[in-house]
Amino acid sequence: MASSIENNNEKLTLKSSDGEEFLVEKHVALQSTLLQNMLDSDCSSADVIPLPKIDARTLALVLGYCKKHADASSSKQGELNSFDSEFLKDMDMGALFNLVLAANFMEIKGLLDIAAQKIADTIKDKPHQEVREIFHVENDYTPEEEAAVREENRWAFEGFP
Amino acid sequence: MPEDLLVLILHRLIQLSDYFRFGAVCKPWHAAADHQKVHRRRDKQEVPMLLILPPAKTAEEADYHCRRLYSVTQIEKGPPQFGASSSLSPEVLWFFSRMVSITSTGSSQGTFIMRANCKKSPYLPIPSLDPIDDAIVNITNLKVLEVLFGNQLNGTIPENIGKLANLEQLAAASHQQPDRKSVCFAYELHQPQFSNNRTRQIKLG
Repeated sequence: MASSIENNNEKLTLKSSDGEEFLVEKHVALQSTLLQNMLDSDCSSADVIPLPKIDARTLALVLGYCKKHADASSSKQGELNSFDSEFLKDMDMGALFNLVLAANFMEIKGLLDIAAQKIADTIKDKPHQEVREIFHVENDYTPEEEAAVREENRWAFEGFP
Repeated sequence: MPEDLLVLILHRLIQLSDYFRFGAVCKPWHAAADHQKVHRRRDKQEVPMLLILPPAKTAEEADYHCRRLYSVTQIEKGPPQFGASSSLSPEVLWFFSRMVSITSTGSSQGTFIMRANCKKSPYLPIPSLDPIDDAIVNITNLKVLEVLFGNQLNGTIPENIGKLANLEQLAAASHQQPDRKSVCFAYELHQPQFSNNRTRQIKLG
């Protein structure tokens, strides 16, 4: 934490998978454990840091989250909570999945938690057929196989189509 | 979809039934759920389900005695229409909806077994965030309370059980038995006017 304060004005450049560059203040980047470790080990002090797994749209979202959380003081937890829920509201599932992958890769625990939780909340209490539609998952079961899976834990499907 | 991501989602599915239905979506999802089976069994405290006799439409059905499992989130959305023989008291339903919000945080510890004071005494094992949560002390007609003490309790009686004015029996299922002295103390705090008589009536076990 001490290093983030003394180098408060330093900036670094992140490059998305589709080649877009983002100039980020260091204390914002430190929200990511991955970037923190890179900076601590001093392997990327001046260069552009490539993030080959994250596209520009997702990276912009991630950095928006990091900036909000880096700038807010700990006393504003309530404000951060409402920012978090507003942040994911109305986001389409594709964007949400990319966000989870990015948060996982960049090790941003808070973002990973809220995004994965949002997906889990979408799935729960829904019939599996509806889950397929929401996430565009192809059903690769034969009717017999699907029946067998249901039969393994028949109680879990009671009350569902 | 990478399995890493599926696992992250699986870890956040609270209900065991959601976990099983997750595997019915497609083969890769089933494989991910299957790989997490050991982890799930070992690390996750399952939210218990209600075992309820649903209302029978015909005499034949009533004869069949088919009980059904209900998840807490199903109950929250709107309780199923129970027959008169298996009605749940409003307190129990309310308590369950409270539990949903508590267990949603994913940090449940300890377990309650509560027998509420209603005709058919539904028997509910309930995990809770806090050993004696405010939710339980608000059920003022609770007569029997069994507590499985978690490690965080160190075997002491939480003071707020003194709010349970109608408690008749307090049981601990762990090695730590509740002692009369700390029960008296809890009641002196909350109901000084009749603490001595009350606490002597409570059966400890």
